[in-house]
Amino acid sequence: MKAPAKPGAPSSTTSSAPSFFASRSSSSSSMPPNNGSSMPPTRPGSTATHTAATSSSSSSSSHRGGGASVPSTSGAPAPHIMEEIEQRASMLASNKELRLLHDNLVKPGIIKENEFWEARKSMLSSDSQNVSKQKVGLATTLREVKPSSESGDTVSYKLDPAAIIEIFTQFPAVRKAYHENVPLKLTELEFWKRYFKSKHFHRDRLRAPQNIQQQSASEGDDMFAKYVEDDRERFKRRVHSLDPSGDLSAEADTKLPDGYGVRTDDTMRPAKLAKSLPLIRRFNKHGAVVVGESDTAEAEPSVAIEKAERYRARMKENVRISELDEEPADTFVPLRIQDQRRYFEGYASTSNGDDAESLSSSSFTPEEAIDAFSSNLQGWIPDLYRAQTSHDDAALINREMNTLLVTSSSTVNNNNNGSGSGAIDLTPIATDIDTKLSSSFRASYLDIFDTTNELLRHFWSTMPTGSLPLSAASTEKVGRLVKMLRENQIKLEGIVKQESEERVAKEKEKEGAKRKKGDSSSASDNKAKIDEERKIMGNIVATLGATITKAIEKHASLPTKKS
Amino acid sequence: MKFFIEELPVYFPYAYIYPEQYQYMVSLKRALDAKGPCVLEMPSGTGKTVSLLSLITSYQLQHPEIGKLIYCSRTVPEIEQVLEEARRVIAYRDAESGQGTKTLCIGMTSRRNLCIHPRVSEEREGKVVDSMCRDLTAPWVRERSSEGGDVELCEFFEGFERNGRDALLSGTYNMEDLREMGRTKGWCPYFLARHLITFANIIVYSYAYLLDPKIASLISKEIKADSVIVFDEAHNIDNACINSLSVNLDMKIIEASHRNLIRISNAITNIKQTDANRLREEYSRLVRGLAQNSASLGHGDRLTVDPVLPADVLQEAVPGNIRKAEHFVALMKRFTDYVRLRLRVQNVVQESPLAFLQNVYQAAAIEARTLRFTSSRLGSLLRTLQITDVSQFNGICLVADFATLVSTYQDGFTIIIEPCDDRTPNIRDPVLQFCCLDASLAIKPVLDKFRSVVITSGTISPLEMYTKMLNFRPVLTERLTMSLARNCVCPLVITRGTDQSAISSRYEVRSDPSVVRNFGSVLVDMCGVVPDGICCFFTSYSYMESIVAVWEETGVLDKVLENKLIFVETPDAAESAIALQNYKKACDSGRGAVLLSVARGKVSEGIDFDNQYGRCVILYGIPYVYTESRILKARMEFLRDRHQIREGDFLTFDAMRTAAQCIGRVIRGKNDYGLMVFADNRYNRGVGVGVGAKGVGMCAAARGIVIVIECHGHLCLWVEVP
Repeated sequence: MKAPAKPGAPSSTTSSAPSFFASRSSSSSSMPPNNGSSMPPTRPGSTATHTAATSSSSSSSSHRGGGASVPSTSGAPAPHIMEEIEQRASMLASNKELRLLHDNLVKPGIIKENEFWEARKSMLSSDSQNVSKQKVGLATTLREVKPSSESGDTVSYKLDPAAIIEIFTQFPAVRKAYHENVPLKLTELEFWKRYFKSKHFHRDRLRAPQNIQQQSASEGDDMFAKYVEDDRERFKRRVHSLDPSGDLSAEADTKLPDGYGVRTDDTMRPAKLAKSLPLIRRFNKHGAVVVGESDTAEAEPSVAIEKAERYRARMKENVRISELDEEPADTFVPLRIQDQRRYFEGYASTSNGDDAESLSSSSFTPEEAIDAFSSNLQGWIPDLYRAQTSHDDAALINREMNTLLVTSSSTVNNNNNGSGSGAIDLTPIATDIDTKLSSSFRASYLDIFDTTNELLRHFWSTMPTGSLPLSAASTEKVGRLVKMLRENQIKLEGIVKQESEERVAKEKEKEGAKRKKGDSSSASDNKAKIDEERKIMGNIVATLGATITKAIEKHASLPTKKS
Repeated sequence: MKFFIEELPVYFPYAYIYPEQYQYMVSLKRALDAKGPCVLEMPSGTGKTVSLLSLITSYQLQHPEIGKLIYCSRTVPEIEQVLEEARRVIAYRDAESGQGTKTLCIGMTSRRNLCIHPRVSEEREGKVVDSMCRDLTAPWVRERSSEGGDVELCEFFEGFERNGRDALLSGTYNMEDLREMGRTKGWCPYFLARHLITFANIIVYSYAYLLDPKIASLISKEIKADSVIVFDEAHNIDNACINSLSVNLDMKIIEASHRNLIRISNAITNIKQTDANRLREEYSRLVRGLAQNSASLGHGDRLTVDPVLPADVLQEAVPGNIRKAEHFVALMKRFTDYVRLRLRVQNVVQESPLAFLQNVYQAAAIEARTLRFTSSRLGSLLRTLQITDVSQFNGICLVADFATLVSTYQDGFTIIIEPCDDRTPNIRDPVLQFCCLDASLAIKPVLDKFRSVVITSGTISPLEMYTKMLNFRPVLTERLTMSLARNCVCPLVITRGTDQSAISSRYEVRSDPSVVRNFGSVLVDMCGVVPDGICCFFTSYSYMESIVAVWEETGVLDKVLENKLIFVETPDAAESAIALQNYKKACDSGRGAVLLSVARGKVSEGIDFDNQYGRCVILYGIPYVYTESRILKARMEFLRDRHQIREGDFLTFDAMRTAAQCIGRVIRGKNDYGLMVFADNRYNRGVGVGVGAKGVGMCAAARGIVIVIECHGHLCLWVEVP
């Protein structure tokens, strides 16, 4: 008889493991120490934990400075803080805009990390819900651990982390055995050696070498046999949790006891032909693992009751022939529009008003809108607790700002290949005006706009109500903010200047080219165009500038500390 | 909606009605008027159940003189579904008619499904649950407890005995409702349901409760003759009838029977020393006759009952030679030994019951008249010995039942003794089969007793076949077709594979590599284009197993796994149920899955693959029954001689209804849609076309949209552009 295969060439098994640990440790460097990075490859959560770890490792590199520094004041942070930090990191990794803002404001230390996130609490909480809902599932395909080489009586297997995860999810018993035996009783290598020798490994395989199946129980078998029992228990529990609508085994009264009835012919008596049963079981099991067979305690009364309710509701829905039912009258939520005329006009101008004409023909020109806005701003009392803008103004400002933002962002989007710098997701309207603004201008403008927005938000929220003096910390913060705002203002002026200069230069070039061709008819057109553009830019800058100025004024008028 | 059918106000719980539903109700109403059996066919997915329930409950309201509605279905999931529909129908009828009728509608099922005892309900094996239940509820156990003995009783049964019998209930109770009520009131749901059968207006349960004499005499005896009986999904009713009167014995059972007899004689010796009086009492009871014997036992749960039909139960006194317990045990031992002897055959033996009885008499000197009493006598003895774990006594019960049956019925039965399985001639596995050939026997008492019997199903044609096989004259037969507003099914017949070789499940070619490969490529291609769930049906377990093994080796299954998960029906019902649950989960989550199962298997009847659970069904081959079976041959011979049904006709008919069942699983309503693939070149000719056409509920074929694809390579193209 051929000697039993001696699997698990030491080199191959170990060689893969260190690389895994390496990747793990790189990710943990950005995380506080109690994350259990010294644990073996996978913890019970297996795939989920693993993917989470690697993804955050890739993202953490870009913002390590800010991300890690936050809660480090108190040694080991509480778990929920850890979670939040990880979440922040993943959000920054997935949201480009947020990252830019973070890079611009937090990294240079203008806004503190905590302040930055304080304002985005709702974002975090909604994000965490999404995370729990959207879990990346397992692959449908069935991976089988196959020997990587077979020579003589040595069989070697190569295990990479993914394969180990696969084995663990497919065979919970192996996972359990692993966690109870490695590293205390067995080394990792020893464990896998035993696994490949055991019958447990070959049990579900069709093409197992004959000699393995005849082989007497190896030491591995004893080790695994202990845990296999659990599988049977689980099975029993699962059967219990079946509801009557799908319980094939519930036919106790239609099924005749053995010996009664006509003996079914042999083609229908599977018990005799159970050769391929292990194979069939393997597919069923794999499917169960992939769809995430829940193994929660169904026995709990509350769960059972809830399940019964769900079942009842489903049965009710199942038997209903919806086609024959009278359709219930549609119920509408009445739409309340304060000023319908304005609503529809506004709609018309955004939906088909792709040209300047329709814009100017509407009763509000951009200039008027901005005028109204800025005049409003002039008399604004910054009381954010009761922030109010009249509906008319809000509608107006909204429309105007939207147009500005959308048009600019749409173009930016186009240029950035849709990477999504635009904050507002409306149908882009490419008006003549917008095409005239250069992309570089737009990009830098938006950048400044976003930063200013964030700064202003922090600024106004720090402002005291009434005439209370600011605390020392607030004063310091406000100082920082105002300094930054000023810088922004300068930057803004800078880009406008640069843009208009470039424009003029370009136009001149063009005109020169045209003149060479002898085409002078469009000269006046061009001039009008340039004027128009200047006006728009002026407006934009005025709006943003006005808000900044307002803040700076406010700051200046603050009661100084000495008083 | 309320409308009138020939003066009968009908309460139909929907605002609209399909034309075929109306037609169905008209026919049903006329059949009820005519007070006789009727056969109605209407394709599934047309709301047959709701039509039935709505008409009969309205009829009950108008004609209080008609009794209960007994609705028989096949499986627990189906029973649950019917109860849910009944709930809706009754609620609507009561609301609309304004008559506050107290209607009680219950579902009856086994202890295994109803038990709420914390320890007993943990078990999932029907027999074990029954046994454990008896341990806690048998009259003598309770007696001992009332005498102060330290015995465990079932608190729920005690609760039921205390005040459950006086309960006045109305409403609809399905399994879960009964269990819940049991939990809140402390009553045993099983005995409550059995008790309620007497009062309920509508009872939904399995065929067996009416057709199987062993169960029917326990459960359904009290049901009055003016009731309306409905056999839904009745296309297999002939098989159910035959099974209820057939027995098969193999060596395992004979051995068990021997062990049982030893245990019984030990028990007799014991009881003689401790309580000889009990045996004497039994003896005098037996002198009076078996009928009184069972009547004197008030407890509604007798351990064993005669396997013969009510009309054939004897009223005479038990013959003297088996009245004494020891004598009876000795006789049973002789009979068991005789059966064991007969199992030692080298060749197949087929003989009539009469010849068998003759042989018994000659070899073991047991008279036929004595044998007829064995079942009841055994039941009496087990009671006297106060044995509760009847599941342990399956062996001896079977032998006794066989003895009773073989001596009661001669006509329409046969005995076949086979020394081994045909496929494995070297492995001795002798089996004696006492086989009922005449399906009409079991259903005759039902047809005779009850006022109206409705036999209905989605696929029951040719209708004449049923009336012949079940030997009755219906007052009305009607076939209704489905009206379809759109083509929601698309039947495809595939006769050749991608390599142009014909595909078929014919025995000679089914294992050809090319056939298996082409079957595989059909599945792989379908998985690429069909969303959600795909169901495949094979002609038999053995065929499925061999194909799955080959597919695994050739990598077909790996390719399938790229698109969908694979689940396979296994011989174990619980395991299959879990696989099925996961299959549905995979379909729900959008991952999609393939379910490989077997025509005539558990999945093929009773489980619906509506909507996303079945967007495509593939039928591999024509599901003919295994024609080499001797029992089938004997049965076909009987049908030919007695009813002039040709063998070919019967086989086609049988394959047709099986195929229709499989195919029909996926279309459960007119809103549903799906692809039906028939992979066999015989579907394109004569016989097969019939099967295919049948399968899609006739509608599709009539519209001429059966598409025959000579080579399935074009198929996927076609599927993408419907």
